[in-house]
Amino acid sequence: MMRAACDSAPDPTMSGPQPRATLPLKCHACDRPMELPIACTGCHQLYAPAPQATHFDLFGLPPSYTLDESELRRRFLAASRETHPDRFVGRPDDTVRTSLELSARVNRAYEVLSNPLLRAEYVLELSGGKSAAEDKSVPQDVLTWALMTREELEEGAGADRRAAIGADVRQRYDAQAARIAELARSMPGDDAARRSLRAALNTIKYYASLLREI
Amino acid sequence: MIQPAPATGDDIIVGIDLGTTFSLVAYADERGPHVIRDENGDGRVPSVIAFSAAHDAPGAAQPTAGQRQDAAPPHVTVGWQARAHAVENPRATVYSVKRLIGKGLDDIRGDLPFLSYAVGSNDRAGVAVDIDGRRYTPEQISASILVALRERAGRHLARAVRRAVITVPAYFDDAQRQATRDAAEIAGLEVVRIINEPTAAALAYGIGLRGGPRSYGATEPRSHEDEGERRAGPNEPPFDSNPVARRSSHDATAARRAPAEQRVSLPLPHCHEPKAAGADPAVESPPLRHSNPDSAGEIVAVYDLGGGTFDVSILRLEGDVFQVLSTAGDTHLGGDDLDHEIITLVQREVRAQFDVAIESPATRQLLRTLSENVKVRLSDQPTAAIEIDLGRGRVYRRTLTRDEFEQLASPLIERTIDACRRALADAKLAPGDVAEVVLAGGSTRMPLVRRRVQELFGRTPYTALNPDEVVAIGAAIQASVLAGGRRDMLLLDVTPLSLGIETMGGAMGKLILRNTTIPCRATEMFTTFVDGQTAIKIHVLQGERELAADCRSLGEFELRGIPPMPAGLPKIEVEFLIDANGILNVSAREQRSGQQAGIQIIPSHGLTRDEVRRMADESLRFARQDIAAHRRIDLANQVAFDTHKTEQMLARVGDRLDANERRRIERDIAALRALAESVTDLDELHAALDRFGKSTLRLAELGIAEALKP
Repeated sequence: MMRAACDSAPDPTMSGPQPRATLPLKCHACDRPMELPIACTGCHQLYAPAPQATHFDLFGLPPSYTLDESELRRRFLAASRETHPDRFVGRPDDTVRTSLELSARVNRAYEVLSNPLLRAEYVLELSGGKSAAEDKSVPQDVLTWALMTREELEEGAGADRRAAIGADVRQRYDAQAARIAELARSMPGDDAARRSLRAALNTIKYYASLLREI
Repeated sequence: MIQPAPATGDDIIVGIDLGTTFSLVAYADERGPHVIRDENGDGRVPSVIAFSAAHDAPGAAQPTAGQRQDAAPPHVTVGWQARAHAVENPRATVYSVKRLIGKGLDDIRGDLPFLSYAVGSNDRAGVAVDIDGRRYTPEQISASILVALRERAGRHLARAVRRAVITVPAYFDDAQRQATRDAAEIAGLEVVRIINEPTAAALAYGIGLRGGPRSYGATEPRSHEDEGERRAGPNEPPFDSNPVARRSSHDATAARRAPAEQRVSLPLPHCHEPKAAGADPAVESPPLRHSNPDSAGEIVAVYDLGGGTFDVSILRLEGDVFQVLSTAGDTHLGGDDLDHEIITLVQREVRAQFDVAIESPATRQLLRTLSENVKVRLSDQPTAAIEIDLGRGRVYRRTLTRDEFEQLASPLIERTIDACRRALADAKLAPGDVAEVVLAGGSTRMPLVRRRVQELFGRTPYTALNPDEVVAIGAAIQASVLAGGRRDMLLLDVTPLSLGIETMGGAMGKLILRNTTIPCRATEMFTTFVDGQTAIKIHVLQGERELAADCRSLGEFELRGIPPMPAGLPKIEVEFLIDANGILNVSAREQRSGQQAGIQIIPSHGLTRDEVRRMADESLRFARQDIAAHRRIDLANQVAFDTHKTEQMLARVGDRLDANERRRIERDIAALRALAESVTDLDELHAALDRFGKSTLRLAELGIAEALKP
């Protein structure tokens, strides 16, 4: 059995920043201007996006790590109102099916884009960076530190010591998250930048798993 | 019997709360949601089904001559009547079937000692209830409850009810959801949507609290012409009555039923107590209102402890958006389990004191009633007395205090508190972030529950909604949303359990994580191991554990029809799509040939599509037979009444008729009675009754004239 990437995997033909999918400016059905690329908020006509449309494309947002989270949420809710299967009860089967698939894509896109780490990961993918499975590199000092910390925890550190370790890991986690945001903010343009972001994302997973343990 | 009105294009959609102990049906119109109540004002239908063989059922018809004896369905009673006679009929009275639905025998072993009816395996891994040698799946039994609810709604609305929103515990897995949907199909209902019970409660809370023009029924204008009529009047209460009044009527109903229960529970469990002065908990905490319904969002926790299941959901209410952030629970933890604690205590003490084992089916049923009464009493009173006459002068007596009961219940309630903490952690929230805690389910009347919930969240739970009805009301609201396509209101729910597949070495490979917003999908690539291999088996799992063996098996999905190719070459993309009902849909595509691969699905539990269709057909056939039986009884009664009345008339005024006419009428009476005994065509009997009425008209007129004489 072979396991391969999930639906968030980049299209292999993609490299570098993608242009925004071209959107119809006006709804074909009612001629009103389109607020969302995937549905007309006026007459509720659905527009199934191309399979390679990015998460950003679904909401009509530029493919950038930096985004206005309240605007993202507003667009997510607007898109959900138009695509959720609750809106298509009693409609023909293929319409229901389209709404189901579109709604699932909208949910996935929001899940990724609303989470800064997943969003950074996604931006890296779009820019042609390697996935965590392809490039597992983590700075050596982080590995050594994580190994020692884990050992200390497993050997039964006292409550005070555990709390101290917890605070330290939390601090490292927050600092790393800020670093990732910094690296992802400008879409990684060259290989070195993509590798640094990859390593930073790999590193924060160590902190996250330690936080879960504590 | 009211004939249902012919179906129209815009069939009503009802909301059904299919509960472990009680079920309800509700609907919504422009004035808001309404629970459909019986003549006593009670919306609850006990989820109890009593079977009796057709021939010995009171009032049931004899099998007609042309009908095969073995095809005669047993007579089925659902609701209060079935519940009242449960002790007399313990082996053929089924309750708490919701705890069996979508389960395997191993899942429910802990329940078996408390069930008075027989449960075994069905042909596969599922369970079946055995009534007098006939086997019924939990789906079929649940279908009987749904039929009763459908008929209740049909009578109330005077039209055919075919579509429903049905609630399930949020923590129900795929198999349990599918089984519930199958039950509805067997009952002749189209399930428009399955929604989670705590989510429904949140809808009732969120929509119900908004008074004025923003209240239920206010929708985004579809066009300007019809805007006015769809808006609820500003003074219109969102519900059909105020919650406190409803609560009192419920208590009155309980009191009214008490004698009936005592009558059947001999030897009697006596629970007599001085009336405690405790205030109605529904009155204690005044309804709180959103300070501002338009604010960026409010975190609401719904704690739903029902008869058999526990759920907690954390939601964000933001204007008209209801977004579930996380859910946790236990589909095998509820009022039944609290009853079991009392039953076990009584059994243990009776054994110790009298060396008597009280475990027969009738006794189990009796103990259930007793324990439930004791539990309910202890919510209002500090103590409850128990008295069981064991015969031969042996009487078991003891007083159970609330403290004692709470000690028994505490480990179970702590499990619910742990689940609340898990749900909060998954939502990345602290207890203090929760602005309101809404209670649903009858077991939340327990003071211990309220206390623990209050301690965890640091606030008094919101109790202004009737916990028995809040889920049904939410279902009715959702039903009206689905029927009308209100675009202002948006309900976003999550899948409660992670979905994955068994990978090499028996590990659980997660594809969709728990608390992902639904609908959601994941795709996975598969290939072959052996040259020319044309089929692949995928074991689909649900659960949080690392090993496949510790997770719930949803089934083996077999991909068939793979084009023969060297090993590793075929690329089969399998899509796992969880729909808005929380139900998994699997599809597959061979990427090289681009063809949809044929998939055969072998469920681990539950019914195949063919089985559901067969049961639905049977249920329809039985329904027709039931209607026919009903009509037959009505006609037979009419024949008995008319012939008897005519005989009386003949005796009184027959001397005014000539002898020939008298003899003719006597012959007609005998003929009609004979026909009623033997006839198979009910229309023929109906016509004969009509003719009889006409032929005895003169006699009837003479009788009336005689009666009018001064």
